[in-house]
Amino acid sequence: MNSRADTRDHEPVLVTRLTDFARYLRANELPVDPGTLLDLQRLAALGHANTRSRFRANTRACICRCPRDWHRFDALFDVFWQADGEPVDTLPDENDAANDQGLTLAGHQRLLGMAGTSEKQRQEEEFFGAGDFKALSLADFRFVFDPAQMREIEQLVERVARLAKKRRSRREVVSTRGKVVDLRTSIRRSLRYSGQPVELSFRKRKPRLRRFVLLLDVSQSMDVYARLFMRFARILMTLFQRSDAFVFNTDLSELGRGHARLQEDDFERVLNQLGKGWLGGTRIAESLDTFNDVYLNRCVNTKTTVLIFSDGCDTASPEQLAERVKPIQRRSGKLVWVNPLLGRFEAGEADKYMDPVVPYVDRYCSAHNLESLIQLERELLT
Amino acid sequence: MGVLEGFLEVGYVAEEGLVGAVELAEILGKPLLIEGEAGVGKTEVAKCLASAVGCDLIRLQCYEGLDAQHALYDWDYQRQLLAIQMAGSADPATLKKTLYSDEYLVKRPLLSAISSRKPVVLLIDEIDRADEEFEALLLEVLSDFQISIPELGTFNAITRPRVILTSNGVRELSDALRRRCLYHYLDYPDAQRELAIVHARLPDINSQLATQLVDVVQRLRVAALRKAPGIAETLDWAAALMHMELTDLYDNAHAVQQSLSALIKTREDLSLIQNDLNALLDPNQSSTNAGPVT
Repeated sequence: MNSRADTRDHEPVLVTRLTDFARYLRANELPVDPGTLLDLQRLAALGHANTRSRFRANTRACICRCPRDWHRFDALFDVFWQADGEPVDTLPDENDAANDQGLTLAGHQRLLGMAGTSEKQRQEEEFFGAGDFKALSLADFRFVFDPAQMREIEQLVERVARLAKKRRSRREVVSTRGKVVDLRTSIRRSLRYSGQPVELSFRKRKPRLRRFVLLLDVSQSMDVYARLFMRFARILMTLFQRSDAFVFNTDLSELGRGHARLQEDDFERVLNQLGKGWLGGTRIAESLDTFNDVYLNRCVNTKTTVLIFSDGCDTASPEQLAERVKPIQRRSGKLVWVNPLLGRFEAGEADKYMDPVVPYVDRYCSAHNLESLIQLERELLT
Repeated sequence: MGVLEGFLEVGYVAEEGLVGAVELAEILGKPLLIEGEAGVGKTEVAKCLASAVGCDLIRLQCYEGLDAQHALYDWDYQRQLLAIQMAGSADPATLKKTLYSDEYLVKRPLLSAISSRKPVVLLIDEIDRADEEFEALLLEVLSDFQISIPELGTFNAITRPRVILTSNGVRELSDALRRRCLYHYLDYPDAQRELAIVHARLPDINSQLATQLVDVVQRLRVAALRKAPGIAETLDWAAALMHMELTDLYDNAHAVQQSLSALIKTREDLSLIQNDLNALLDPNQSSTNAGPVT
């Protein structure tokens, strides 16, 4: 009872501090609308903030809107409601620090690989960097060094992958043409003709769920792209539950569906493990050989779209690689090869690794920036 | 009786945050959106809430293509047609009035919840499976607790239903919908809570067996399986092991293998676990510190 009385004494202070807290959360990219703030103040006035844990639970339930908010809330809450709680930006966390270091190291490696970059792209790289969507959508993923921008790109990549689900047709669509009469709508329409079925409605057939098989090259030459494609693959696997994903460098391994439902922190840990200790050179042909032997018949049929994310830099000859690609193309509905390095080549420029392989893929495209990734997502569903 | 006690009475071991969120939803009169992985007990929250407060549960299971006719209301067209045929040369105005009356109105879950005279718990399950158009349809119901029927007018809630929405996060929900709801993210329970759940649901279970099976399930959740076992699977497995009269999991690899179908739901996971069963049943590799429930 006493604690409730004490709480009520502090209510005006608490109400004011709640406004500050809302302002602080907004500054840290966690939006609080006025209605929510009023709800919180009402709860405080009613004495529903009598313990710290209850106050935390209440504010969290009112303010959070998605798992991302949920996982960030506690840290923000703790910082603000400390005795000397000065608002600080909690966005860069431990993972970011790790990423930051990783990116810096990778950045040095990338500088060595920039010989293949066209002059036009370098000019673009100097130009972009304002952080707006347009800039981000055109910037090559390799040249994004700022962790905050990379995080933004990762979120955009996930959003692009989610578009694929949104584009999928509805289960059944009422149509003016078709073979199957939609009885319910037809009867409803016949009411205006005294029950005579003058206007018929039809139902379109339910479209089949797409099935994707993703083969991701996670060798060092793929570097930052591998991280982003893993995110892309993760969302596709979540949305299209009959999909399978495999990663390869020196050998092939199946990326279990478990990755699709990993918590953000755990998935980040998996991403940080990518490429570590794999210095034996990429064996794409060998990996595809394993895929053809073990998984091709089980995972791929004529309704399947196979996506290979790779730069094609293989220890085997390009002709050998082409031989391994042929059966995949024959068996699948569509084979899309995504080469993020394609953006480096000028039109008509020869690519000794991929030129012999390209005739055996249905679509050969780049996904080195967000814009090309958006095009890829459209490509997947046509 | 508080929400926590109510939940406990019907055998639902709820975390403090969830209890707080349910209480808040009651106080503020807002719907509660619960997100989380499949099998963490989201749907069960609504069922147990209905039992705890002694209300009817009205459930709307969402799916792709769900529309107003299946969620809100529909007209009984067949009967309307019969009425037209039987009316013959009756006055058209009277006929129209009769045709669009309560008599021919088919109430679907949302309208049933709104027009119920007794308080109800409305469960809108797996909202992320429905289309975005349906979400827009829900906004009026969730913010004003009313449904507009052009032929009859607006139905306002007689008693405001307690609304629980669940989502597996398959699709991003709109901000407009999220803004109208309180939010709770339900994670897999930790070992202590899962053990408490097992004891609450299966009071006759051997304490050692319960501790061991919870330990195994917790370790399986960390492994990258295609389908991680949810709480329902834990309970099914526990029931299966009880039926086999097991008291020590670690000494009965064969029995465990026979009962895995209650826990593991894909062929890939099954072969993965069967290959590694000995490591899984090794007490030295136990990662949890679950203690017996007192």
